[in-house]
Amino acid sequence: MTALSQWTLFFPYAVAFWLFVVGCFGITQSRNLIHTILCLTVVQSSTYMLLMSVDFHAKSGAPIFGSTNPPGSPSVDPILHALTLTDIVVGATVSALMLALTVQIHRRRGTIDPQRLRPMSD
Amino acid sequence: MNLRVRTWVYVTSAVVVFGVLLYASGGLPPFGSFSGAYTDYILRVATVERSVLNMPTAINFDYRGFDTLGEEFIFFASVSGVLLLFRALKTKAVRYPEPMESERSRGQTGAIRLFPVGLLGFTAALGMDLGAHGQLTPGGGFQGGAIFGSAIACVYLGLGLLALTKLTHRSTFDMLEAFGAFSFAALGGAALLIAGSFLQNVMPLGQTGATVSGGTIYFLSCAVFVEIACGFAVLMIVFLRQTRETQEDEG
Repeated sequence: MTALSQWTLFFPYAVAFWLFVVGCFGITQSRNLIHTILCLTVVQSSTYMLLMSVDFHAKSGAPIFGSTNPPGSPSVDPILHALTLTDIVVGATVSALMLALTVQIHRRRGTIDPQRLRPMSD
Repeated sequence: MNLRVRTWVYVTSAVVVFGVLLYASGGLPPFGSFSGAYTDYILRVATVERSVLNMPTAINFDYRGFDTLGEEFIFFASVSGVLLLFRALKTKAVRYPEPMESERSRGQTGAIRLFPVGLLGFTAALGMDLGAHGQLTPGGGFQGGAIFGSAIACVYLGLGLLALTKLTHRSTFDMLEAFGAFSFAALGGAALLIAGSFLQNVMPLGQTGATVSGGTIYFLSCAVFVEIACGFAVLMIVFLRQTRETQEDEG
């Protein structure tokens, strides 16, 4: 096996780690809490990428059986699919909670720039 | 810590973390060749044991049903948190004024107002279809609920906030959401009393491929559907009402 094709076998993992690192970069540079929340979503999607790369199986179908792939035929890993789908729905709600906190912060402090927010003094 | 220091701290630690992760990925199975004993076992026995064709559904609502209970309560706690935060705001905000009939004056044409209404029926039907056939085809309570709950946005897009607040009753959605979360736990508790272990599949499994099959899997999926759909609807309503209140505050 050549070095190049060996490298592509680990490329999906590298993409997942890249998403994680670049999302963290956005969080450190953020000047707006809504932007921070979106960056956290990018970090979160790196976990989906990692789970999906681990569960992929060459030459097999979806883990949903039917007439073309009868029960027991080779399939990608359904456990990681189950993890990812609950993760997505729960992640959306947690984002909603953070957005609600942002609205609250804006009401109280008049800014949503995390670099201008200081600990509560009043 | 100023921005420059922060950036340098980030860059050095990111290079280290990224390098370590890349090095560690060498220990992972190469892409496309992972094979777990648990996976192989589930793929072999799930259809025989539980009469379901959708493996992720079998895992979510049966083999790892207890994990889903935890996920479900994270969802419930998040929605409750949003409601709590906005409840705290309401005391500060000016008394919720009668929304103006401004949707028409925004200059929307009839097509723009009617299209989302047509979409509402389609989206709701798609959500129910996905939710009701989770054990057979791609779908399930989580996916169907998210789509069904999002259909409420069509009411806002087509008819505006006034219609949304008049047509929907938020506390009904609140109660239904709590009911969904409760019935998941209650089904698990009933199995504990009947069969001796929590969330055990105690109902008749039915014919593989039938609309109602898979025993408790079907009913747990429905409970999750109700909870997720109502949770999304509640989130949508409280956030959209918030836009109106902010507008009134500024104006």
